[in-house]
Amino acid sequence: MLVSLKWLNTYVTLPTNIDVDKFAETLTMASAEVDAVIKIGKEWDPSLVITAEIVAIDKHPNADRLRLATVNYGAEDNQQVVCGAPNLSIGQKVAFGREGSELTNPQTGKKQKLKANKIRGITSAGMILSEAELGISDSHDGIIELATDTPIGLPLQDHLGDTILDIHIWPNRPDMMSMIGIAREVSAILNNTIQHPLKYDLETSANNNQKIKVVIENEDLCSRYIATIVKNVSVGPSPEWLQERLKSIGQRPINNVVDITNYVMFELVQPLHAFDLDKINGNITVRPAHKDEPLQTLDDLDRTLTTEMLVIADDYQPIALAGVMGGKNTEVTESTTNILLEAARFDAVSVRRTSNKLALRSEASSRFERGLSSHLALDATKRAIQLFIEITGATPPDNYVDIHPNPNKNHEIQLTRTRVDTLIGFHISTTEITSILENLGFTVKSTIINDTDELFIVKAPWWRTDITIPDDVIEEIVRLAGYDRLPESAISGQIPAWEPDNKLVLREELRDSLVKMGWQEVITYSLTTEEVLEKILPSDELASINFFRLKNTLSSDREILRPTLRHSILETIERNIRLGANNIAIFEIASVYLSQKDNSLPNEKALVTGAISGFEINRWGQPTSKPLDFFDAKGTVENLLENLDIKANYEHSEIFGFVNGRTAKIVINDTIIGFIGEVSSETLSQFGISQPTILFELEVENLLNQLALQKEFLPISKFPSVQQDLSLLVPHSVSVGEVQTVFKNSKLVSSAEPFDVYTGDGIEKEYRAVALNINYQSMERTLSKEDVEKEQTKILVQLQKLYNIRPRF
Amino acid sequence: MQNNLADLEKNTLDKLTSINNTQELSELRTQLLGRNGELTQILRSIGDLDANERKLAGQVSNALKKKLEQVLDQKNTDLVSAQLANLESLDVSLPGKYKPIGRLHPITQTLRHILDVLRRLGFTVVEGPEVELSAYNFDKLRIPENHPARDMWDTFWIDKEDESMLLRTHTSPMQIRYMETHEPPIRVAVPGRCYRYEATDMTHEWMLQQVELLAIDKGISLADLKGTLHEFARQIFGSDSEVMLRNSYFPFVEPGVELAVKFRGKWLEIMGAGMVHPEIIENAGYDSSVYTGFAAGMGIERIAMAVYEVDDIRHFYTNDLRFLSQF
Repeated sequence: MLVSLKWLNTYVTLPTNIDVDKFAETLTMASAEVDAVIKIGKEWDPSLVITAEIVAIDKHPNADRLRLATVNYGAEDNQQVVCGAPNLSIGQKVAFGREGSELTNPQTGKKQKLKANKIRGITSAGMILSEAELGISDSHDGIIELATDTPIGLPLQDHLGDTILDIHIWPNRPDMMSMIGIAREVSAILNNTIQHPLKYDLETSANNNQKIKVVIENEDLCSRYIATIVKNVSVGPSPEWLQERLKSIGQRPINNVVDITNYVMFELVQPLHAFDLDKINGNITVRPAHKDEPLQTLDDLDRTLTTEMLVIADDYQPIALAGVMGGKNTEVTESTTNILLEAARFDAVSVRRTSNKLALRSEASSRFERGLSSHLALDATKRAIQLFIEITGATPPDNYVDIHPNPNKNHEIQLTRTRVDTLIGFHISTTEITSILENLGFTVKSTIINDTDELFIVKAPWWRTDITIPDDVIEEIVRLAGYDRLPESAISGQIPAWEPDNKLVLREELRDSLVKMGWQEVITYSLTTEEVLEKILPSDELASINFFRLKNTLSSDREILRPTLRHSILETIERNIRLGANNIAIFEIASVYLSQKDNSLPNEKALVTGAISGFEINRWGQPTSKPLDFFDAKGTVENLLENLDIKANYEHSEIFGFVNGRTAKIVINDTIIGFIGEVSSETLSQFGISQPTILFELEVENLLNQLALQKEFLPISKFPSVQQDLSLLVPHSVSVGEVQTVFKNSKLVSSAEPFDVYTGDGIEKEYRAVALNINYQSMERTLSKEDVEKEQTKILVQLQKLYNIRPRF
Repeated sequence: MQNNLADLEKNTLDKLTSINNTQELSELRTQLLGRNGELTQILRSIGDLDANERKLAGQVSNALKKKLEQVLDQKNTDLVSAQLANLESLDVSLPGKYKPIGRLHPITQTLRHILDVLRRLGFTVVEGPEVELSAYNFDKLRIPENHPARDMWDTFWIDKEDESMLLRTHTSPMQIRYMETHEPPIRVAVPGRCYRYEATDMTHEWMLQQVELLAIDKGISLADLKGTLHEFARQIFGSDSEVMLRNSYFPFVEPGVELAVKFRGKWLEIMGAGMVHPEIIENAGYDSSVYTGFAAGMGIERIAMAVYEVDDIRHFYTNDLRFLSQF
C-alpha cells in the first residue's frame, strides 16, 4: 500500500526534519515492512523550480500548436516561455522551471539541465512543467495545475514535495490498509496522539423505516448494511487537494462523488459504494445471485453470476457485486443528483471466493477478504457525508438505515505474566506492557494473582480483528518493546534422540565420490513434458505411467513431474555442448516421482544419474579421436561401488534408447540397482547431441539396502601369496566375469583379475585370449608349488568342462 | 664342471662390463638364471652326478649362483643411480598430466554447510515429500482455503478433481508431519525442493530449496530463537555478523518475525521465523501451556547468492558448466 507522509502527517504529527529512511526502518522493525521509500521533489532546486502564475497567453507567430505564456514567478520581470500544453489558461497556478533547473527529459527519462532555447524563432527561458518533467509520473499530457490559492515564487518542493512509502501489509492486518491504521501504528511507536478527521454528526439514531428499505437475506454473509440517502450532490471534478492526495497514492481521480468514497476507504479502510439513487428501482436486498444472473460491472465487463456470489439487488436486478464492484446500471455520472451511500460488512470468505471466481480483484475486495470490523461502517458513513456536504454541496441527510444483525465484539483476553516471560524470554515491566498496549488502543487491567504470577485482562480495540489469543497480545508487546532488546540464549532442554539418516549420508557419499572422480554435479528442474520423455522412454511404458500433471503451468515445457532423470542429464549435455564444452561428465542426485497404486502421493524415489560425453582426453587435457565408451562409465560406477565395499555383476540388458550389447544392468545379490549404457545414436540425435555419450543410473534406496550397515573386518592372511599369470582361450559366448567366478569359487584363490583381452592373429576365430592374474593364498599355511599347481589344474578342468575353455601356451 | 663354472663366471663378468642399461642386464640375468638359463641348467644337471661329487658341485655352484646374483643386483643398482643422475632437465612450467576436476553444485555446497552447522546445534536432518497434500501445505498450518494469507504462496496444483494435492510451496508441512509422529523434545532441520507458481527474474525462481527448522521443548522462548539463529548466522556468515529481528506474519507462528543478517555491510533478509502457534502445538497433541517452540524457514539460493555474490538466481539451475566450475 502506498502511503503519503504529507497526508499521514494530517493524522499524526511526524517529527520535523524526519529522516524518512530511519522512519521506514523503524516501521519495518515494529510494524509492517516498508518495501520502498519514494522521495518526490527532493531534487528540485528550491530557487529554480518554483510556483508561478500565467498572466498572459499569446499565439506563437510561427507555430499553430505552440503558444507563448507570460509567467509571473514572483520576480520583478515576468518571463515569456514557449509552451505546447493544451491546458493553459490565464490566472492558472503552475510549476515553473527556470533556466538551469535539473529536470527529467520525458523522451529519454534522463536528468537534464534546462537551457534557454529558441523554439521556432522565439526564445524560451524556462518551462511550465508537467508531472513527467518533475519525475512524479509518466504523465506528459499537460502541465500541472496547482491549487488556485497557491502563492507564487516559492519553492515547488514545499507544495508538491512528498515522501511515499510503499508498505507491505500482512494479510492479518486489514486495519492497516488505511491512512488512519498506519497513523495508529506510528502514534504507538512515537508515543503520539492521533487527530481524527472530521465526521458529520448524524444526530438521530438509525431509522430503518425510510423510503428505501434494506433486507439482508443471508446474515452470515452480510453482518451490517448502512444505507444513507444523500440528496442534491453536484457531480464534478474533485477539489485539487483531494485529487492531489489520491494521485499521491497512485489513484486516478474520477469525479467528486466517487473520489470521496475512495478517499474515505483509503483513509479509514471501509470500502464504500455510491449508487445513483434515481436508477434504483424499489428497495435494496442483499441476497445470493440467481443462477446465471447477468451483471455488467463498473469495469464494463458483462459478468455471469453463480448462486454462491452475494449481490446487492433492487426489486428487479442486481446492482452491485457485494464487496467487489458496483454495477454499471446504477453508476454515478455527471447527471446524478441523488445518491445512495452503502457502507457494509461482507463476509471475508464469500468476497474472496467471488473475486477469485471472477478474477476480479478490487481495492474493496482486498479489504473485505481480510475481515473488517463491522464498527467501521458507521464511522465511514459519517466521514463520507461530511465530505459530500463540504465538497458536493449535498443536503445534510437527516437519517439512515442500519441493519446490523451480527455486531462483532472483541472479547477479553487473559494473559499471565508467566506466559509473557516464557514466550519472550525476558522480563518487560508491567508499566511498560500497559503503556504499549494502551498506546495501541487496548484496555489493560493487571492484577497480582499470587507470589509468582500476575494476570493481565486485555481487550483489543474494535479495529483489531486479528487479536484473539494471549500470544497475539504478546506479539504486540514484544514488537513495540523492540526485538533489538531481546537477549540471546540457547535452547536449554535435553538433546532429542538422534535418528539415523543413512539415506542422506549415502547420497552425500555418492556425491563426494563422483566429484573426486572428476564428475560435475548439476541440479535440474523437476518438471518436464511428455514430448521430452518420448525421446527417452518407450511409448508403451509412457502410456502406462500415471503422471503427476500440473493443473496450472507457467510455461509449456513444465507440465509433469519427471519419472526419470535421463532426459535432464542429456538436455544439460546438449546445452553445454552448444555453449562450447566438448568433454562432459555430469551427474545429478534427485528424486523422480512415481505413482503408487492408491491414488496417493507419489513415491519419490532418489536416483543417481550421470553421463559422460565426448572423447578420451590426452595428456594436455585435449580430446583425442578415441570415443569414450561403456568402460569409461563403468570404471566410475565400479569405483563408486568399491568405495561402498560393494561388488556388483554386470549383465547384458536391453534398455530403450541405449545400444544393445553395450548396455548392462548392475546386479547385486539378484537385485537390479541400476544400469550403464551407451546412448543410441537415434536418441542422441533427438536430444541434438552428436558425440558418444554413456549414461548410468543407480537407485539410491536399492543401493542402501545392499549396504552392509557395519563393515565386516576380514582377517589378513599371515602367509605369503603366490601370483600366477595365465592366458586362456575363452569362447565368445562366455564372459570374463563367468571365468572369474570359477576362480573365485576356489578357497585358495584370493583374486583373479583380467589384464588383457585379445582377438586376432594367432587366435582361433571362436575364441578370445584372456590373460588373468591369479593370486593364490591360504589363511592357514604357506602354499607350496604343488598346492598351487594342483588347484590350478582342478580349476582348468572345471573351465574346460563348463565353458570349453583351455589354457593358451 | 668346475671349469664350466669358472668360464661362466668369467664370461659373465666380462659381459657385465659392457652392459650399460637395465634392459640388457635383465636379458643377461635370464640367460644365466632364467628357466632355461646356463647356470640353471648346470644346477639341474647336478642331480645326475654321483653322490660323492654331488655335494661339492652343489656347494660350488650354489655359491656361484649367489655371487652372480649379488653382482647382477649391484650392477642394477649402479645403472639405476646412473640413470637418475643423468636425467635431462624438464620444462617445469609445462602443465602436469591432465586430470579432470568435478565440483559439487554451489547449492549443494551451501546446503551442506547449513546442515553441518545445524547438526552441530543439535538438529537432526529429516526430509519430507515434495508433492504434498494441500492439508499439510496449508490447512494444518492455519492457512485455510479462501484466506488471503494463501496469496503469500503462489502454488502449482496437481491436476486432480479437487485442489487436494500440490507441489509444496515451503518445507513447513514437515513441521506438522514430524510432530504427528514424534514427541517433544524436537529439534529437526528439513531441507528440500519447493516450488512457487511465479515468473522468474533475477531474484525469483519457480524451483527453490529451503531448510526448515523446528524446535519444540518446555520453555523455548523468542530469546532462544534469536540466540540459536544468531549462532547459525555467525557460522554461515562469519563470527562478526549481526542479526536483526523484524516483525512479520506467518499464520503458523505467533509472534512472527523476519531475520536479517548484516553481511558485507548490507542487511539481508534470510529467513522467516517465529514461535510455533499454540493451536499447532495443541493439534499435535502436546500441551501448549507446557510446550513452546520456534520454527524458521530459509531459502538456500538467497544465501548462496549472498555468499558467492551471484547476481542472478537463474544461474543456479541453468547448469552452464562455465558457471558451475567456479565453485
